Amino acid sequence: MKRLFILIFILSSLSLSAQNITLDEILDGYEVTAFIPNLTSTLTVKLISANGEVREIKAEAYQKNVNTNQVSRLFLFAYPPSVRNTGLLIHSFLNGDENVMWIYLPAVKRVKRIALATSGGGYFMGSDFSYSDFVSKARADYTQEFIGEQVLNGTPCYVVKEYGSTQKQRQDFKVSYMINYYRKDDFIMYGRDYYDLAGELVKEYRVKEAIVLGQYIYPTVVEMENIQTGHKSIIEMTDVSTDIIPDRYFTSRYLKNR
Amino acid sequence: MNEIAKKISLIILVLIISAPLFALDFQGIIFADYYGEIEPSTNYENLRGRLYFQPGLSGSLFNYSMDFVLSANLFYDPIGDPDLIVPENILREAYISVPFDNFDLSLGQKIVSPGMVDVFSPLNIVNGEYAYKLSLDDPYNGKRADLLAQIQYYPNFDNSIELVYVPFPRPDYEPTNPINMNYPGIIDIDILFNSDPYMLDNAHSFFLTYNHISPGFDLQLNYAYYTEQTPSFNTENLTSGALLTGDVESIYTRNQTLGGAYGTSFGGIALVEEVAFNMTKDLPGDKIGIRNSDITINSQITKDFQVELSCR
Repeated sequence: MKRLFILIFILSSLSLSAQNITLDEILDGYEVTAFIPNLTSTLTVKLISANGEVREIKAEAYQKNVNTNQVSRLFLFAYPPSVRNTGLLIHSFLNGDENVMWIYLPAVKRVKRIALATSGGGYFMGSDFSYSDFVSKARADYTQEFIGEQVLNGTPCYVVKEYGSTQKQRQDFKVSYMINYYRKDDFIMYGRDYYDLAGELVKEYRVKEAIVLGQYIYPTVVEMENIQTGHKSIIEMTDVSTDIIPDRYFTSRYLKNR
Repeated sequence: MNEIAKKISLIILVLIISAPLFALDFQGIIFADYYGEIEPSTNYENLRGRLYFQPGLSGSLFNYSMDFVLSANLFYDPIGDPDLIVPENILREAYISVPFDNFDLSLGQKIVSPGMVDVFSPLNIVNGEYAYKLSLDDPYNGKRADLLAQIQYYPNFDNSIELVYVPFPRPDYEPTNPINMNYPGIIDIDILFNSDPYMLDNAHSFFLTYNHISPGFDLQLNYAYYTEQTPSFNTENLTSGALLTGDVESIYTRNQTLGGAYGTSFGGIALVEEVAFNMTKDLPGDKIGIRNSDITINSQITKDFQVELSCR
């Protein structure tokens, strides 16, 4: 009887400790581990159709937190040959300003401003990742609700529902809400489910592999599956580095003349 | 055999020795296109079939302190009147670029594309047109590169000033035989087109461009004092009487173009506005045969419409 009492006490203590964690603690923990100031990697995107056909895209990727409000990203495509030497520069802002994107088209030698950031994001090079998946968003632009815990693919996670604070945001990104799964032991976003405007599950994001880079944890193999079309995209990051990237990388000069 | 082996060994030795000096990148573009004519009143006609190959070699020299680009246009038109590319148009680009701290210097035969709109930019006037039969203003052979010097100065990350000097501009390329306009008793005129590869008589073109790129907006301001690559016509040799007769020759006049482009994006839309005032030799507009001055405004709106198509 005494043993049973102790077991109940331990279980209730564990339950209390889980419930005691706050939403801010989860999101703060995620930001501390995920927001890496400088990140360089070689990126391979595998596009897998419902019938198993595979197409590959390769690019060098650079990401830098320019200041507390701005994150810049640069993609320099190397494969397939049809997009070779094409460059994509993205400035995203955490204060709610609209994201800005430029593309360098080597065939016409022009740096061209494009506007994909708010029109549902547009799909990144035909993959299931949208451009909006690559731009940073201000936490204040979204409403988050801590809805419990769940084991995802054998990993205990905190579950947070997240949705655009305004109807316009939800329509812009064509997502009514997302269910985020933060791994309990290190707070990385281990998975994310996207629900369309009709409330149907449309995409599943899953982290397959991650590496520790000092205080940071970086997913090196991630998968996005479109549940409605059966199409799947896998991004693999190699040659990952957190060395400081010069600011000149995120300029039109570098985009054109690197 | 011994001589051949020596030569091959020498080439391999040179490549091995020079390999640390430069990095090479080879790229080739191959495509074929076809045009046919469908008219209700005539039979179907093959107009053009082009087998196109654009090999390109680029790389860095001397520990990345200098870049080079070398590319060629090659095509064969097997349909109708079989036609190979003329030798003067085979070399597409051949230039070196040297990056410095605050500026870049390029020397050689290069395509330069000022302006912001995708097609028919009135500011894209550095290089002449390559009007192969039925060709569109496509990125592959829509322009012919000029021998030029280009310096781009970057005072900071958002702004740049660019000066392009073309000592001997190339005219628009359009293979045209002399044309005789003959209306019995009224006109008997021969129109003679220039076939010189470079405009040596009316040389020296200058193009000055200011560029600003920032999250809020992009801005480009342009000024050019140049020899226009599209010909005007000299009618001074015509003799008028009962019969207008004589030769009309194509000539190239000096123009000034002042213009600018503004680009911004909002709400998923990218907007570009371009305006150019092109002032020709015939500002009053009273010279027959000389192109008139003009103002061109070009607006471009692009929006991405996301359409979901599922295929299982």
